[in-house]
Amino acid sequence: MITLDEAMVDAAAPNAEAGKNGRGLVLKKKFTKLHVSADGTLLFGECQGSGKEPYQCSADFARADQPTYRCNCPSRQFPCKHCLGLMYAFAQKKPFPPAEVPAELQAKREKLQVRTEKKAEEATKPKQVNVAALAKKVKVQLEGIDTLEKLTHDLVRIGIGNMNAKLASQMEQQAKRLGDVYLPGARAALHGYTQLFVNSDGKYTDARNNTTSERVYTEALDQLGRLHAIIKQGRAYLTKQLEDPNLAVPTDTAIAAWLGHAWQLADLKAAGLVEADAELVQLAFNSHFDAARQEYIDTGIWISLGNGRIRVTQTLRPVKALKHIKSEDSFFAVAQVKELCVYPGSLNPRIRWDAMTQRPLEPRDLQTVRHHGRAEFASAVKEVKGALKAPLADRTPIFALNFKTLGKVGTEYVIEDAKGDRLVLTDAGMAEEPPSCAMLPLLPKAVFAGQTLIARFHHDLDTRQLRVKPLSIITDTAVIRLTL
Amino acid sequence: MSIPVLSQVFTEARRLAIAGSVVARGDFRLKKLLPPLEQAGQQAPVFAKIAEAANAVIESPEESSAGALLELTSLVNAVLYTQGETGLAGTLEPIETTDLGGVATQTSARVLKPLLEALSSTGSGRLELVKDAFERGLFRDLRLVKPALTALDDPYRKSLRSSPRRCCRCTARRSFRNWRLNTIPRARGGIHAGLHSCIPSTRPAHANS
Repeated sequence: MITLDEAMVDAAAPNAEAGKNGRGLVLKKKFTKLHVSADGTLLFGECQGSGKEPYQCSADFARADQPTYRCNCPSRQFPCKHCLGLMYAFAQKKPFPPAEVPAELQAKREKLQVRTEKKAEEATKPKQVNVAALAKKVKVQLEGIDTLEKLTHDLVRIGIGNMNAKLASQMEQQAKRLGDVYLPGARAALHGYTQLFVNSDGKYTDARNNTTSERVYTEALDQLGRLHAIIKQGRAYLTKQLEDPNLAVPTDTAIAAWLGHAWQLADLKAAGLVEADAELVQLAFNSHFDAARQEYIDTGIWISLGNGRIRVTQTLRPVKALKHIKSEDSFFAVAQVKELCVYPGSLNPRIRWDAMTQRPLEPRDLQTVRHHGRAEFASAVKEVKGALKAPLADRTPIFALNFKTLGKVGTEYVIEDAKGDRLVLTDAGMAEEPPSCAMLPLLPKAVFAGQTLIARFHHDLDTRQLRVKPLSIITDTAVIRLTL
Repeated sequence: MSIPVLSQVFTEARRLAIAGSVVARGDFRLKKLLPPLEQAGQQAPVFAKIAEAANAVIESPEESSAGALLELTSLVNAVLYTQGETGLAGTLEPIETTDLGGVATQTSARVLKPLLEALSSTGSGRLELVKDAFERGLFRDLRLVKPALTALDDPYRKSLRSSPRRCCRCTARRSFRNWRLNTIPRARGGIHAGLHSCIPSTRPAHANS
């Protein structure tokens, strides 16, 4: 039997507009037929469009964790507004009399079944490596690393202070070429450097005041260090791969990802980076536009109820393909994932999944999340410092911290643990995330004692202070999101 | 650990990176730091390594200066990252809260983000968004309280005095006021009362009279 509520349909919609349009179709009574199959796994119906013939749309829940949407409308969005409308109608308890599944639809369902079986069979076959092609690619990549080294060294030789708009745009041109030599990750890192010299309009600028310059210089030096590490570690890894084409992609470091290795889910599974039957709760969410990369990045921060590890999902939506990639949204239920693939990485690695079901979030889940929080800040701080010293580490790791008191010292917000250790709250860290400290005085008093704070650490290179940005507060009854 | 020396090395390396590594050869300020680094190196091997890297920067020819400088800054940065200061001394005082009592709703990012942008940016097309959000009761989300209040004070309104209906800010103000009046029919006391009225369950006592 299909269980659907409106929030689930909202989550399935590729964007807010599609959801709104789908709802509109139900309101305007555009559905002339609404049916459910005898076995209760398929919703199908007809929706009047602008043409003479109605659209035949269906939502197939034969695979409950990975529904299939079919519609003969010309939209390239999946699910389209007609399928969404069909599901909204079901969620709104409109009458869905059982009926026989049309032959054409039945044939498609059977085909899908065969395809799924074939895919599962193929997944078990060992992957063939085209040795010659790989060697050729690695050689090109090594040449790319040489180019990157030359560019980086040129930048250091000239000096960060002598960086100007002309030079930055020249670098940008050079950076584009790195993408052509299979080093998109390295290209993004170089991008990260040149982007420090652009103004809020996304244009390179020479005019900056002293304070901004000083801040940019420190940040730029850190970025150059990162590029230096990519060159060193990347060259070592690629040279090794050239010698041994069957060398597995390393799973203990993220260097492959920095060079731009795109992990396939099958690769992650083959490397054993899979967790079975994971249950995940979303703690925070963010979506921002990266002007340099011309793509939207949706980031979800999730905690695993089983092992308490905090990890992130990332959906990259290039502007050019915006219509065809589903935008992610905040998720308020518990995601049940049969096969959770975890990317190599340190504190908060990236995760991905193919299929998931959901169940409502209950107070006992929140208890579990709170139980996973660190009771002593010192242990978390030690771990953060240990991770930060690696040049390619994520600079803003996220932890769940159980605080005894959240209060103020002077003008600063501070959390204190049971042992009296303190961490200062800040809004710095990720400029793309909405500020959250200003939200605190609006919260009820009860959340200022004995709760769990989801916090993003940030080390300020200029002041040498390690502070945290509050993302959410987990109470006994709710996840209070402070950002998105 | 001799952190002050390390900070000095960082400052000098940063200065050289800003000026360009071409001028690093024989840099006397960095040279002055070598003896204390070597001395510290006898106790902690990492300082010996840093001394070695600093020496390489001073002695390397122009072609390899960039590599040497990057090596030095990476090393120093790695150590400094482990020395971040935490905590803050002083009396921990309770936060003065307007205590809106309980969290109202938590809207999803897909809805909230465009709304936050509408309240904090300029341009057309925002009127509908704010109106629609008001009608759907989305302003009960605490994350919208401050942006909505900021939007009320926006000077943009004045420039569009001749056509106030087109002004999004005006609508925001009206939406907010209507919402406040609807929530507490007799709310008094300006913004503060407005804040209290965000959530019906925590109306100020006088509001019920």
